[in-house]
Amino acid sequence: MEKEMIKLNQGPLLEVKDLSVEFLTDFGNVKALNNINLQIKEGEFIGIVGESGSGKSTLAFSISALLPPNAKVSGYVKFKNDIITSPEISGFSTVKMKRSQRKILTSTMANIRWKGISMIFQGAMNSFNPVYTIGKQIEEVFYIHTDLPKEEVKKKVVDLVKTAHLDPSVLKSYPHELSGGMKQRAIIAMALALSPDLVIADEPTTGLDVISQAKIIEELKRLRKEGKIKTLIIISHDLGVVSQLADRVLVMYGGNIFEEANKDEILEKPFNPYTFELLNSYPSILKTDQILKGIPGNPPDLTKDRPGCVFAERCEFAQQICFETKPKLMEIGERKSYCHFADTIAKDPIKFFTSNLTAGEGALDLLERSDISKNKTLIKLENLKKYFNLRGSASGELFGSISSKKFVRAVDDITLEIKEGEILGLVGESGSGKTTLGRVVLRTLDVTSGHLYVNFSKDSGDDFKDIAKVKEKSKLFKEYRLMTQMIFQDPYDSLNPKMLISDIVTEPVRAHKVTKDPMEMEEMASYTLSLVKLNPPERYMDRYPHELSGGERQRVAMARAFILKPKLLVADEPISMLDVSLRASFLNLILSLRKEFNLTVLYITHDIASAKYISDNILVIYLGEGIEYGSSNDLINNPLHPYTKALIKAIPDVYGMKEFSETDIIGEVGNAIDIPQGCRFYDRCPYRQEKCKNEKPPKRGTENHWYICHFSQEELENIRKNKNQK
Amino acid sequence: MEEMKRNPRIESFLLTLKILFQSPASVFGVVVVLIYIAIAAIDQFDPSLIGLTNVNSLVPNFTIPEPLPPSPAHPFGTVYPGIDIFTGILKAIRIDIGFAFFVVILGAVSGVLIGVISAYFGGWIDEIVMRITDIFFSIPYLVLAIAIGFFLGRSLFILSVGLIIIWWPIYARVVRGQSLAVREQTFVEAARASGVGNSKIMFRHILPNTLAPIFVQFSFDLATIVLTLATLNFIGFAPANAYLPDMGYLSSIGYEYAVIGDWWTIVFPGFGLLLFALAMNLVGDGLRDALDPRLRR
Repeated sequence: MEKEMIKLNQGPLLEVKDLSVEFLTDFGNVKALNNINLQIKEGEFIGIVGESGSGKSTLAFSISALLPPNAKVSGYVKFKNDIITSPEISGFSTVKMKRSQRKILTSTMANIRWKGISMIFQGAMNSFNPVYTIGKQIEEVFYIHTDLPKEEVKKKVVDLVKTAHLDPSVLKSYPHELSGGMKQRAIIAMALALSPDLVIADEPTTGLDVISQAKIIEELKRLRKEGKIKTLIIISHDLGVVSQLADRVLVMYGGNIFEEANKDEILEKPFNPYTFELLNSYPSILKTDQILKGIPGNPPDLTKDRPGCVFAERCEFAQQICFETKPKLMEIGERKSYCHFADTIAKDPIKFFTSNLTAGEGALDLLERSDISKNKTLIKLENLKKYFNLRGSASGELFGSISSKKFVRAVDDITLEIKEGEILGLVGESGSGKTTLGRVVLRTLDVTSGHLYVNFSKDSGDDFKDIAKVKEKSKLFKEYRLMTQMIFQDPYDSLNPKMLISDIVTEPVRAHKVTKDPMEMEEMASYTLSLVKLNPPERYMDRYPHELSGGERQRVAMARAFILKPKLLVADEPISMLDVSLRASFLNLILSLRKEFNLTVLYITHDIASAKYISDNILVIYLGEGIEYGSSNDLINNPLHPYTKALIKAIPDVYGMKEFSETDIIGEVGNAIDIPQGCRFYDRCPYRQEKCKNEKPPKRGTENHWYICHFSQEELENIRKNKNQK
Repeated sequence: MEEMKRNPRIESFLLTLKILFQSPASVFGVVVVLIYIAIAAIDQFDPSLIGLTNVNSLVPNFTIPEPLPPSPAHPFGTVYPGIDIFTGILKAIRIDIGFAFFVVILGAVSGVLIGVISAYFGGWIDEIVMRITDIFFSIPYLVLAIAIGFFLGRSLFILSVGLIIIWWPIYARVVRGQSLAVREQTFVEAARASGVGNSKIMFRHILPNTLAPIFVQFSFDLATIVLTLATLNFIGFAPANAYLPDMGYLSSIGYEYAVIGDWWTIVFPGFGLLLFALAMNLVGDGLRDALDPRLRR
């Protein structure tokens, strides 16, 4: 500790001074960064939080001197004593640079990169070259930057991989042979190869599932303790991840630093309206039954010049002055806040934020849960299975031997009931089969075996028909299509780019030939658009999807799904691609539609916190099998299955720090091809016993909260105690 | 809404043009191609031709047996039997461009339809269609064209039918590849989940999203077809004694004289051919860059 204090007293390791970056594009000049000032001392862990377009990645690129040639720079970035980004040597000016100059620049940069600054990029999947082994690629760093002999390099690489808690055997494998989490560890090992002074991690856990994410965070914490990572800049859109690692947090929005303060201070008492509203947008499993507000409006268009604050148009506390003049980054003690009213807020943040608060977008009774248990059942799944045949092509079927046929058991034996007006959360990691289940329920995929009973009754009675094997051309199936709709994860992918919004929204109307009258269709479209709060609807009708922001697109997708007032909506990760500030209001939209129209929703997600926020019941699914089911409060507060326990513990929550250790869960999600004979979770379960290997576990618990395991809670507790004693 | 109503489709088209015209090579290509097309169009209204002679035939003048060098009366000279190379080239442009558009448009339309259907339904249909394209790709197309002409006759029309038969597999493959990618995008699934039928999904959702590479392929193929026709005519596979105005035919009759020093008999038709092919390829390159969103900044 003392040692650290001494280090902190030295001059800054990295200095960013008046840095502005503008990108010249075909669509106008994007002002990505405005007057950024930042100092990082050795030994600090800095977190940068921001939504997409906030400039956080541009800042990271400036710090690692990787700005593209269409960037126009002013100000500078200094690392130790070297200027690494400045108007003369970065972006635009490199294009016209002479060869000799460029050579000098490249060699200085090569010296700084890896040795001084190294980077852990987003998306470990793509950071390795697929045709070389991991070992070769890590060795390369040494060959380029050092003169060490071959044997020594090999030894160093092995040591390195061990510090990242990887087995040295991964060195001989190719990138595709490793899972996402292992690859990310290998990337971290590579970044630490030459023990750099500064490590920049740009969204290091995005794209990993919750448990791998928790492990990577633990890994980074451990490496700090061991002194392997000296200084870290961690960039993420997820305040949860940042708050686990950083000492000091910078909040960015629209190319400006909006707030800078120590982590705890910023979480408890934000001094900036944006931070305040952002914190209010995160669903958390610790905050109970509190309505999330989200931030209204859309991310700013950075190509436009505006006289005032870039956040003003979305800010609930905005006054006249906010639209007219740009605020300054005010210093309040150790903290900084970019707001006209920073002084006033700093005096009493809570008073400011509560007294000036206008009525929220959503009514507060959205979260009120009516008792749905008396409602009629809308859909019953019985032993539903969906297997995928691994050999797909005709020639493969001709020439492949029958015995080598393999199946992916994407959905295996799911039995479930969904009541009318219920929101059921389907939670699972990637590869768990949750998306497949959603699609099988909608019958966009065929059922392999099992029953899918749907209640076609128009009144309160029951009229169940099994539609699992019904032909697509039949009348019954068409009726089912009319009852169901879906919204998808990626709002950029789920709207046809060549169609107008009005055509997209009215597509189901045309498909089901509900009406042919164009006037009536337009009326329906405009009504539905206003239902999903795209106001005024006329503004959106004659536009193309690419003109809208992600949040607006997802609302258009919602309008398309809702125009025929379906009974069942399958929402497949509808918010995971949206910016944090837009998520809450989309969830509130689902809740309000449910309230108004008694909509039934199958909400598929990997994010337990959001599932808890909107669903009545949650089913946790693992390798195609439902392993725990319960009401959302029960399941979160009192998880029964070892997997659910680990999953909930792994969520990086803004409001709580948890120690996640290797004993909680082993390895990563397996594949659904070679599933274990007994319990599916056997390979990863820390509680596993001999019996789990070959025997199918029974259902335990009550009808309203069950889980699948060989052991009761007391037995599990005993196993854990025994293990800890060892 | 206060602001004027804009048409986003036109806007995106203008943006494509803007990017296209950022490259001088593309501008050159577009200008040359437009000049060629203008010549082909204006030729229709040449008073010296209307009603007097067949527009689709070269005019021989047997009083001038020897090729004449370029002169004010014959700017590009003449070639046996007294054919004025300048008017010959103008007519050739008309025939060549018309022929190329005919072949490529029909080839592209049939190829695109087959490709989309094959990709959308997959399975056996896809397998059969793709094996057929494999067969077409495994036969040298010149040989195939000659074979078709040999069996069906040598008229310009039959030649074009032969080339269409050869050309559709290229489009079928390009579109199939694109469609396979588009088919996996979620808006297709969204449409299916909304109850939209197969044909609508194919032609409203998949097809419009596969067209960008088709335009690129189209512009390259216009040049290739012109060159192919010229090649066939040059090696003597032209309709016999038809005096077909075509650059390849012109060069083939000029070839013998060029050997003995009458250079103009082959340089001008050859240059006309080269310029068109070059310009068309430059346009194709420019289009590829302009339509590829990855190359936009």
